Amino acid sequence: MSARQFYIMLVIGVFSMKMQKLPSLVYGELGKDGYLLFLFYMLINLLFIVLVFYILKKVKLTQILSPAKSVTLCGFRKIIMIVAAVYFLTQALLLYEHIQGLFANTLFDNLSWALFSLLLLFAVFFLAYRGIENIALNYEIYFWVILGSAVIISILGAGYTDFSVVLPFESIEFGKILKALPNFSFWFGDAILVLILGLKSKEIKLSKTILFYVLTMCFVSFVVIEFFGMYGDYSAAQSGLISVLSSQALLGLNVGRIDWFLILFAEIGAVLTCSVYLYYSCLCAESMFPKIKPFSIKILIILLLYIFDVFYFVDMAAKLNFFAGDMSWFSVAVQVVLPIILLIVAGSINRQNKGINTPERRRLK
Amino acid sequence: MKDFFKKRIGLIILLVAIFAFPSSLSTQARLNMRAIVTGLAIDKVDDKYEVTAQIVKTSPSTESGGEKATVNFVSDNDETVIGAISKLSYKTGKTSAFSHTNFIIIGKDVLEEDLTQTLDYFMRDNITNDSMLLLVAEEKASNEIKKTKDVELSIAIGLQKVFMYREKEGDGVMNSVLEFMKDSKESSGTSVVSLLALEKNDEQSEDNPTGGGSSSSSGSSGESGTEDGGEQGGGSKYQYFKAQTELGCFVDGRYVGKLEKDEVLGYMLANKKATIDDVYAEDFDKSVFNAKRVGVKIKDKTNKLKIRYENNIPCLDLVVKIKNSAIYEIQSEEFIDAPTDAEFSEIKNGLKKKIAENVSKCFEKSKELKADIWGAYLLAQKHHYKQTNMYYKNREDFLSNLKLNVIVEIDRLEY
Repeated sequence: MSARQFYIMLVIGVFSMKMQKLPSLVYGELGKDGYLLFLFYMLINLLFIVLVFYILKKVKLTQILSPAKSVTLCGFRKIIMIVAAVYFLTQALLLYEHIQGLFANTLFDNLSWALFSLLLLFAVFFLAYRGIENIALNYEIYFWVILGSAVIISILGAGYTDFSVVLPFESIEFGKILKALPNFSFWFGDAILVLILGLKSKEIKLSKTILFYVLTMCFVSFVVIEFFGMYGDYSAAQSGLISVLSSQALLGLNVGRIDWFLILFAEIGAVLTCSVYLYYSCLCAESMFPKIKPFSIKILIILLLYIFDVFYFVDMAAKLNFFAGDMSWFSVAVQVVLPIILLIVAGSINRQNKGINTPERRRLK
Repeated sequence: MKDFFKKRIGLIILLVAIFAFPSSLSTQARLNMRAIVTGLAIDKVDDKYEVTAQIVKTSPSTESGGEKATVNFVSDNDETVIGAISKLSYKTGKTSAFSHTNFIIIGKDVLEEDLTQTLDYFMRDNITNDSMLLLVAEEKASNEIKKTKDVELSIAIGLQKVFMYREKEGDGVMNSVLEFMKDSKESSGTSVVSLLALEKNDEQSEDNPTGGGSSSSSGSSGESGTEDGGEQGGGSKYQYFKAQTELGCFVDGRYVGKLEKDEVLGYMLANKKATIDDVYAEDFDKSVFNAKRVGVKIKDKTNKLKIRYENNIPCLDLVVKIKNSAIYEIQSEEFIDAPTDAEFSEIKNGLKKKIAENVSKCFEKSKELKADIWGAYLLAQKHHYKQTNMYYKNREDFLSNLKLNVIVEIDRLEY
């Protein structure tokens, strides 16, 4: 994966994750100051991105995926792989649920999701199966379509927004925002996204990564403010930001919602990002069980995705309880602990390499 | 693995097609079973909600221009709005499609309750547009919606666009369900809605051969319980919109009163969306300009609202900036060809005085109704949060002390 593809995947991945139901949930919890949650997470993720870049310098993907020589490290690696596989699967599931919400609940009123989910499942599986380079190429092809659509939607929405919704600043309760941070951690695993994409990328730079990430998060925060300004207290009752942001703008044409094309183009990003997480979930699972055929593991993971989507998440309450409830602590743990563990692994590898290259060792060789 | 997929790619495509194909087979049948609802009217009858839907009748000869599309009206009632709406599908024998609904008319009887609760369904439902125009009927909403059948405009345009244009010209308010609900929930809690009044033109029209009754064209759909709106038989009766002389005022979702005539003019002059308006300036200094009235067409204006405190008394500075206007009528005993500079100046003063007077009338009426018509309380909370909360317990307290300062600026007045 080239550096350009990395930056594109980062921008689209970060944006797609947050443009669905999240702003409604945040408003329900924090009110008009919910946009600050996005800015807080941006700062937190920036710190972790710096840490991730240090890890990327020291650790290669093959070193993580291949079995370690020491028994302790081997067991340690398996635990990391299990946790990572589950985490990436839940991330893929989150995006999958969002896509379902758009198609089954918003766009089409009588869609048998149990049946049509299979088509989407096939699409994300096909993308994930083809590999990350292929997914990256798809990102590159669709980038301007997705970005252009997102920008046009935000411009259309901006004309009908009361931006003074952020006022007054005196009423901001920072304590409440900080307390709510863990509840939405599932949506803000951006540092982990940088990590997994960085492991497969060449010549990526910290400065550019930070620049693109900050720009993306600022755009996301701006769009969230637009959403709050447009819907006020009814923001919490909306099905998703991306599908309603431009709904007021084209009334004068009286030809219905022609902005749906833009929404669907922007939604391509969600499908691609879902396939990215699915790919990494499969990769981690395959590394844990090298004796089982990779294709069988992929099928199993896909089945798990389908079962969760169709049978477990039967309603909004089930979804919220899963992603924004107690499971959010699992996400926090992974997002905090995984980089730390990899840091330790990086330190261990570094020491090992130094041990190999000491003058005594060289003389022995 | 690549070989596996390569060999079976045909099977995969076939499977995908099997999943997709049955849905496309039923698409045409589903479209035929759609009843497209373009408008709704809600009344209260004996503690039940009566919902009347304006349904567009589609036929093979219907053109997209909409002039040949006709409408039918279907009513049903239930204890809840959603219950009544669900029943409409049963009545027509078709599935009701609400994604094209572009207006809701609320009847007089429904105004007794909190409209935010009546309309809550439309805000939460994914299919209906929250950009629907909200209107209030003087009496029964079902009577008004049926009159729309004979309105001389294309079905495709709809009331929504008509009121968008009217708002721009200062003759109505295009308040959507979303705006109404949002305004009602904010700290100012006030929203203004247009009253829909259609009046009959009793002159016979030679251009309408079908007359008012279209029951003969309803066919089988008429037998399943649809009702035809408008006057039946006896020649065409075009319906016209009444000039907007009244606006309904709502506080926290409840109807509190009307703005009338000069108050409406004052409201529209202070409304950002109304950029065009007609004002008659009067009361000139006879020694400078001896005319009874001068009609001025405001072609472009902007408005600004600012709240400030003077000795802890809130003061709303309302700026009406007329960017472009023209004199189109001078009523005087002697013919005035072209006003002199002094006369122009006097006309401008008269215009400023008239605008300030109308805006003040609207303000006084809003105070009487305890309505924060320009969102002053919300502005004060946003820009002077601490001061507002320190000196005023609530909105009513704030409004009772609020003063208005109207500043009129005229950039350009042509003759």
